[in-house]
Amino acid sequence: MKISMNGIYKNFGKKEVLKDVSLTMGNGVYGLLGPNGAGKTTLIRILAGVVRPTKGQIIIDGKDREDNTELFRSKIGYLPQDVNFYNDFTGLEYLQYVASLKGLPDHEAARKIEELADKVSITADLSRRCVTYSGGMKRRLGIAQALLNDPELLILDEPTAGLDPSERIKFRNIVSAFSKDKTVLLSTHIVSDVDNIAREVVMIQDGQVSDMQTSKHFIAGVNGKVWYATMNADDLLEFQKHAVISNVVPMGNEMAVRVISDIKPHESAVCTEPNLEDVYLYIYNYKGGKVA
Amino acid sequence: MKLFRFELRKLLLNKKTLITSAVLLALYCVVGVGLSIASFGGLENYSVYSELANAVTGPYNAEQAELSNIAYEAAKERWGTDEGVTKLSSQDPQLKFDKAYYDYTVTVDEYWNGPILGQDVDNITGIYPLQQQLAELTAAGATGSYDYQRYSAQLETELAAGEPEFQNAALWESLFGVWGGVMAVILLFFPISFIIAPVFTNENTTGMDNIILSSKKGQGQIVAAKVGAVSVTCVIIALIYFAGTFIGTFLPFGTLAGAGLPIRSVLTASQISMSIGSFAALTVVWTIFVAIVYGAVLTLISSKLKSQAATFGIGIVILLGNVMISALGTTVEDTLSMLIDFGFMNTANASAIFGGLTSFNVFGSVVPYYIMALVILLVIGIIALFGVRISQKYRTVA
Repeated sequence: MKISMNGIYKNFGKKEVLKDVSLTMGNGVYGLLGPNGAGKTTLIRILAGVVRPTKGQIIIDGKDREDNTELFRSKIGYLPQDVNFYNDFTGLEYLQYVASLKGLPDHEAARKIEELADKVSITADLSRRCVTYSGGMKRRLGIAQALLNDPELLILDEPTAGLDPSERIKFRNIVSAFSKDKTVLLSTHIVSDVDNIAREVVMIQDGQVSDMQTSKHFIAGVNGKVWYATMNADDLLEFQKHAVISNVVPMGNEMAVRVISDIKPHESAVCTEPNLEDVYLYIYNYKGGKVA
Repeated sequence: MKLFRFELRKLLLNKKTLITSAVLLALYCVVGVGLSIASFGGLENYSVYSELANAVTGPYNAEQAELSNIAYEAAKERWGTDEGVTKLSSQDPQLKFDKAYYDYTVTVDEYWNGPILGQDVDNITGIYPLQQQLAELTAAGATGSYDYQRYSAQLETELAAGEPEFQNAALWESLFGVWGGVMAVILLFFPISFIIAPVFTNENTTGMDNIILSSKKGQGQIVAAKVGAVSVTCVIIALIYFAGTFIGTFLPFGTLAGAGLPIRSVLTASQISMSIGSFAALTVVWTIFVAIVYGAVLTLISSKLKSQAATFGIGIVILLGNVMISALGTTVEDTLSMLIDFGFMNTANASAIFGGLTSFNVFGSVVPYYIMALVILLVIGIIALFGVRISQKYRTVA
């Protein structure tokens, strides 16, 4: 599937939430990174077809989505950021309901529910009412519903919120395996969600997006801007007031501090290899969100 | 069909609504018992009343009329008003009977001579006034007019029905009092509003709109499923209402006496010839139809709003529209008479729709109230359905 978003604008009243957003995606996982309020959810909702853009066009495999909405909807799976399930429904009923919304025949729905419940580890809890599920279980149930129709485009908005570390790893594995011949757009502010699995990443801030690039490209952009410095705890308290720090590791009486900076930030600082998290901090905390 | 079952599960077959329905059934039974018992002040009083009434059932009895008239006037002198007599008669079966027979004599008088309080010049009633009116229209050469058609049909019906006879149908009168007007709106339509208001707003509250609107059937078939679920819910709640009030009214007395009597025994102006039992069945069917149309309107409102409370509030305003318009004065009331005639408060009252003389002039033809109401409600229902369909098509989560 090839998806192009061309010149997307979205206004809520006088507030311009998205400004001239253009993206192109093929198969693979794409990460949409940005802080809260950057416009990620609005962009995701526009792609999912639950919010209309003020201006712009979405082309799917060469066809305008507006002319093929039902066909398009049958090809997507969407996990929104916040979903509260129906209190009276069990997990099984909920999945059956979404399967009927997606138009799956009964036998196909039963097979997919069994398969996905196993994948997201909720098989034993399917007969319980959703209201009794923990936050993580609700999220896993949400992931299962998004995958029910074996979508060609999977849209995930903050999918790992509420998941514990092992569940996050499991989730990443599911997405990776799923994305072999599919498109996945994963919106998050948790860099590690996309660091290892995203084919390309796009940064968003104040409704504007950067070019879609590989993680390596973004990381190369901050080469020479990530430092390790050592200092004692008292100095660190003073130092952190005017520095962007990505990590602190205690080493005896000293602290090993990972710092983002264009210039050498401390007399003890030595340059080190950057990662995607450093890129995120460099763009949003150090440069104040200049994403282009 | 599967979507419909899930929508019904969400709307009706959930713990909250099932508990509400059980509470409503109990409430309806209590209301039925309360009104019928209050009307007679107890089972014994009903037996005494029935004995007195059954003794004079049938055509007008001048001797009984005179006795009842004397008893009524004496009670009225003591208690001041007709309402005072009615109140007192609930504790005194003899007085209740005399009051009922007095009311019957007034009905007989009005059958021949028209209303004792004076004619409404636009709606003549009574055999003699009708004959006189028709004679005047004939003399004026207006035999092709709308009024001539209307009055001749009315006269024909009245003559065919014949002079009213005294019947013992007091329990049915009590029941029809609960099955229409303000009582039906408060006891049936308010709970319906409460139960179905979340049909669409709930999807917004839970965030499920995101998943529904992005799914294959989330903009088309879901509408049919939701409207179907709303209709079934309206039918179920209405049946609970009718069953509860019916059981409550008749169970304490252990009799359905009067079910086979003509409906004119209860609704003296009724132009429809059928038994009280059949009219009760008609009332059930009609009210369910009105409830379904109201359900469709509320579904449309729910699809346009994000708040269940706001949907419920607007539903209540629509239901009480008649009362509100009337409170704005005669000029406004006259100007907006169509809204009053076809508002849900009036159309939910089968006794007013089928049991009165109201008719409408449609291109010079006489169209009875129930035909007009049927057509207008169908139009409202169809518009609401199309509205919901369009609303869902363009619905977003923003």
